[in-house]
Amino acid sequence: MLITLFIPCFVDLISPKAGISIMNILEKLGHEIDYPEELGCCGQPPFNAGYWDEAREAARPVLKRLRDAEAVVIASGSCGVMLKVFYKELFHGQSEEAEAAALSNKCWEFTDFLVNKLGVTDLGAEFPHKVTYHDGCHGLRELNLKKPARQLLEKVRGLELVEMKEAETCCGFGGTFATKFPMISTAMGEVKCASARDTTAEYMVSADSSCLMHLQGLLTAQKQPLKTIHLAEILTSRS
Amino acid sequence: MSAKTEFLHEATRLTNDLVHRERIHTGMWKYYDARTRSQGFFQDWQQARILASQTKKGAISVLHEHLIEFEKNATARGTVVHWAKDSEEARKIIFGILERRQVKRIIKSKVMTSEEIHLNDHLEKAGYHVLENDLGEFIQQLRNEPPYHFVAPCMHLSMQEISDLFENKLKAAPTDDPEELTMIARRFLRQTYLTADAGITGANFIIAETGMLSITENEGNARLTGALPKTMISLVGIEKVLPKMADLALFLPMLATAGTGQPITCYNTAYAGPRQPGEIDGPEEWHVVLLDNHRTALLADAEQRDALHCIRCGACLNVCPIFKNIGGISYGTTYQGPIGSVITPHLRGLQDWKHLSASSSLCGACTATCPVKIDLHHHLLQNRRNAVKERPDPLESFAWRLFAKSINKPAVYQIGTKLAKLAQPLHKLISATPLDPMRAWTKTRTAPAMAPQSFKDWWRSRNIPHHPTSQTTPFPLTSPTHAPTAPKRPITATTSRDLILARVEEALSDTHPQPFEATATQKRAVLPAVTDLIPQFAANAEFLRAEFFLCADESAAKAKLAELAVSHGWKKLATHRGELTDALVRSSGFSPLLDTTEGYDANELEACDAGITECDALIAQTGSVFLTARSGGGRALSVLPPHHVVIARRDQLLPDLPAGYELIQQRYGAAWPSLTTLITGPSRTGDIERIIILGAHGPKKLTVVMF
Repeated sequence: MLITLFIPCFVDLISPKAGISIMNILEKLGHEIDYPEELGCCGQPPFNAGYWDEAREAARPVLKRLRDAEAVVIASGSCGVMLKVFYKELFHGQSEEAEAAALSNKCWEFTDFLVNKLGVTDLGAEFPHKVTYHDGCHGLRELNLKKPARQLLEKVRGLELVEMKEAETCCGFGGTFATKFPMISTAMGEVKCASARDTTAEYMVSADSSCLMHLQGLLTAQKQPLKTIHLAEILTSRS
Repeated sequence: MSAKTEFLHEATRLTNDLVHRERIHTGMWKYYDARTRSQGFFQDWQQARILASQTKKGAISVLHEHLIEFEKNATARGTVVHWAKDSEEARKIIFGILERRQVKRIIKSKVMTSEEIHLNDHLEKAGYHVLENDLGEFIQQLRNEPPYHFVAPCMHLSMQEISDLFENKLKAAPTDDPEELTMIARRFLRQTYLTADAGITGANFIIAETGMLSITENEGNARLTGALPKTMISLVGIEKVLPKMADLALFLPMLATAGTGQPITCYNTAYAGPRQPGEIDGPEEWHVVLLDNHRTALLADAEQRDALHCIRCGACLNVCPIFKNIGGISYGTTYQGPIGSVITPHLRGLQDWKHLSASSSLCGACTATCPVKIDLHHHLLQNRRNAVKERPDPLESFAWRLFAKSINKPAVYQIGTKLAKLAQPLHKLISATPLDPMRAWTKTRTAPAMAPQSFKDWWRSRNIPHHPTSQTTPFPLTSPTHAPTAPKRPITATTSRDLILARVEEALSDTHPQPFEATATQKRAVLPAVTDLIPQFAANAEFLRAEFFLCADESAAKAKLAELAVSHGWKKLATHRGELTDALVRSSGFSPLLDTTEGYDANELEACDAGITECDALIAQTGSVFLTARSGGGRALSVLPPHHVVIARRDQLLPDLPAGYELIQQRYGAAWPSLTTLITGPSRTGDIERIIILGAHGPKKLTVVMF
């Protein structure tokens, strides 16, 4: 299959390892990758801020570039939802309405694609550590993806998954929310980290780099030993 | 201070208060556990949500018709229906009633609509003596503070704080026993029921078909408020409509489950008018004030119309991570949490309250939990969009335009990332200092470091030929098509009634589909079928702490009552005349026995140890007792004495709530008693640290004797 890989801006600049891991996994599974290098962002930041005209302007090149794709895999639950769910809303009543709907049908969040489209759960990975999983809200509640990440982690050799009490609670990132209301965002992050710490896990894993960026920032600032890691990096780990 | 400044100030203060945060989180986890258990009461909770949201949607889509039907049916039974277009008119109507009835002392059961119109302040300023009688509201009134949470008004207080408050305001002895604290309030408030001239209530549902108001509660304070004062006033939002009485069979257990995690609340009372001919108690006059107060503006927004489906269960607050960290006071609104953030901009102005829609991570926990499937977090997004469309912030607008133009232009993106990389070492020098432009992030979080090699760099370094990029041609710019529509023509109406009805009709003329609408699935039974009636009734009643005795025959039941009289040390009993009470109570020679059939003195009834009543039916599904003002000997007999004893025959036991409502409707038809109540367990409260205490205002004990 020719897979078009959408790499969000923060994965590109801050956590490229996650993107590289995803690409390696897909290639290893025998798929050809098309990476639209010219795309930087799905347009979610202005969309969430209420600036929908601007969001549309940012989103149009994405919509156009992905028009002929066979399947689009997005390396983030949050941006995945933007392409799969919110484009339809953003372009509702616009000339691109049908195009947004067509794109939605072929967009896949990365874990969803592996487990539910390709039917793959065992990637031969080995990661002998105790981990806990943070559900990114967009993947969990907009796309209903509670299971795929866990199905993938289950098959990782040596890995012990311990669920935290607040697994489904928002980490407090929320895009510009994190800087517009830093005190609330921080408090939410603290609740999350405390819950992860209670499991005595070494790593907090997620399929969303944006959540991890916020959580790692908090953990580093508080000099806590708990580490964050993207799920894809675990799936490409070998001992 | 603007609402936003105040919000930021309070949110900062409360997120830094770790004790407060911990208390709210602990309380909410208790709720979550109870709720998860209660959801198991439903055959299929998700189907129940769909059914409820469809019912509400159907009701709201012909709201004007339902309101007219309600008015007609309520008026036919002697209820006076008023229409208030806004706060001022609602207050004017209420003041008019109070003056005409020469009221001095007022008791209020929990009425959120009255918080909305700031009724207490105005009443007090006008010299009325007003007392809140829901335990949580009473505590907040003593603290001179608005409710912290619209379902759990004082959930932020510790037992110690409440003890200090009672010591200070009521001169009570300090205690660390939640039961004793509840009893202090009970004793204090008891007398006020007997001396109040008027009672003010809200309502959870308006039943169009029967002209009834349905009030859900646990403590019994609303029942006492509706039983004893001579004048009763109910202030209700126009959106509370349910088409049929039978709809309660779904909404009552749903409200309890989502609201407090109970299978059903203690008292679910349907009021149908003031005291009816032949009844012994209840108010001489009952006034229902239907309140618009910008609800029609929300109705006119077709995208967010479903926010009017809200049953005010508070579930969205309970799961909201924002609420759990900033607490209820920060919002500065009558309705807190996600639903408050959605509707307040419609009720009190978008520009002044848009910050509440912005202060959300859009996590969607609210939408996932809402029992009537309101698309809450998407409405927050829509509020943000509407606020920008109405009045864009010049600086932000410029920044987003720049962002939109450059982010997907490779050349600009590349220059931008290079500059950011160059700036990074410089930023490290000032990080988290007041000079840092990223201080909002770096004050508590380390700034993310840019990777030495970006994904794009890595991709290029692999040197694999990739697919050619398509040419980008600019698309025509079009504006959003679904912002709320403005009224199309000016409405001319002479009375508030006609004005509100015209507003409703006008609002409903916009039928724009809701963009995030859930797909409806087939209706089917949402509550499990009941097969084994007696054991299920026994189990459900006992779960909610009612006492249940199954007797072999009439004489065994009579003996059981005599035994109860001895074991409970009853000195004085009250009952009404009826087939079963005559056979089991009056013939037993209990003395003294207060017979309420022809009327009673409230003080005398209050002094009785137990009230013995008949009922219309027992419900196995919920372990409840269905009684009316007729079968239960009036409004007060079953709620004023500290022990309520119900006697029933075996054939009165019905499987479920739909069967109960069917029976009641068949039995009374158009001649409704003024009160129909579903009683499940003794009166209770969880207002103090969510610890369940029995006997908040109503009976501490409920005993069912069946033969």
